[in-house]
Amino acid sequence: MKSLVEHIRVTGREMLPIETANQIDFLPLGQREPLLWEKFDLASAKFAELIRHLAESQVYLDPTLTVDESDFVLGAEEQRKNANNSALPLEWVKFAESQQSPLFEVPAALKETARKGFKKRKEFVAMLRNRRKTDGSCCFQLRAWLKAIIPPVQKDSGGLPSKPAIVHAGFYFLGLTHRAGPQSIGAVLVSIAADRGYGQSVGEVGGHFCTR
Amino acid sequence: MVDSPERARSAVNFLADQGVDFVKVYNNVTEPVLAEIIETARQRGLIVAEHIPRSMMMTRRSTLA
Repeated sequence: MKSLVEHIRVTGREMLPIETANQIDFLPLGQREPLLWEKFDLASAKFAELIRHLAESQVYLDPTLTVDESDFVLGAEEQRKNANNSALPLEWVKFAESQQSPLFEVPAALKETARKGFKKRKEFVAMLRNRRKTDGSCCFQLRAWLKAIIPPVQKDSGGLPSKPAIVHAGFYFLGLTHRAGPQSIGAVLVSIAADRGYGQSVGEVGGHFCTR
Repeated sequence: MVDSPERARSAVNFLADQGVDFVKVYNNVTEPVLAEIIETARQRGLIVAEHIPRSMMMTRRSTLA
C-alpha cells in the first residue's frame, strides 16, 4: 500500500534563501503561494532534487490542479460560467462559494502573479510526469484526483472541476476518489470530458484509489 | 487529538476496526506521528491520503514511504 500526498506544497524554506523564505512562508495562502511560485526556479538544482526524491519515493502525488486553478486563477464568477461546471447544480456552486476562506483570497495586486504561478505549477507537474516517462524505475505516480466540491457532505475546501487544467498538464483521468457521491459527480465529469473531446483520456471512475 | 505515535497507532487501528477505506491526515501532525500513521495503516492494509504536515518540507515528506 502507498500513501497519497495531496497538493503541491513546496515551501520557501526548501527552495529560496532563508531571508526571502521568512518573508513569505508565513503569509496567508492566497498571498504566499503566488509570491513563492513567482520566485521559484524550476530549473534549479533544488527542484531537480525534489523531483528526484518524489520519483524515488513510494509516494503518490495528487497535485490537485483543480484546487489550485480555483484558488489562484478563477474567480467565483468565472467558475460559475466555466463550461466544465455547467452541468453542476447551482446549489453545489453556491455551496462551493460559501466555503471560501479569506485565507485563500488572492489580493487584486497579486492576481497576475497568481496566474503565472499556476502556469508554473503545471510545468512542475509536467516535469514530474516527464521524469516518470523517461525513467522506468521511478516509483512515484501522479494521480489526477479530481478534488471537487461534493455538497452537502463534502466539507473540505476544494476547487470546482476544471478538466483543461489537468489536461494541459498531461494527465489522464484515472479516478475520482471521494467516497461521497463519486459515481454521480464522476458521471458528470466523464460526460463533460467526452463532450469536450477528452474521451480518450477518461479512465476509470470509481469509489476507490487506483493502485499500481 | 493524535499527538504522539502511540495515539496515532491507536487511532489508525480504531479506524481500521470500523472498516474505513482509507485514512486522511491533515496539516497539524508531527513527523513521528505521520510515520506511525503510515506504518500502522500499511499493516492494516489502508492507504493514507494526506496534506504534507506544516512541520515538514515536501522533499523530506517524500522520504517517508
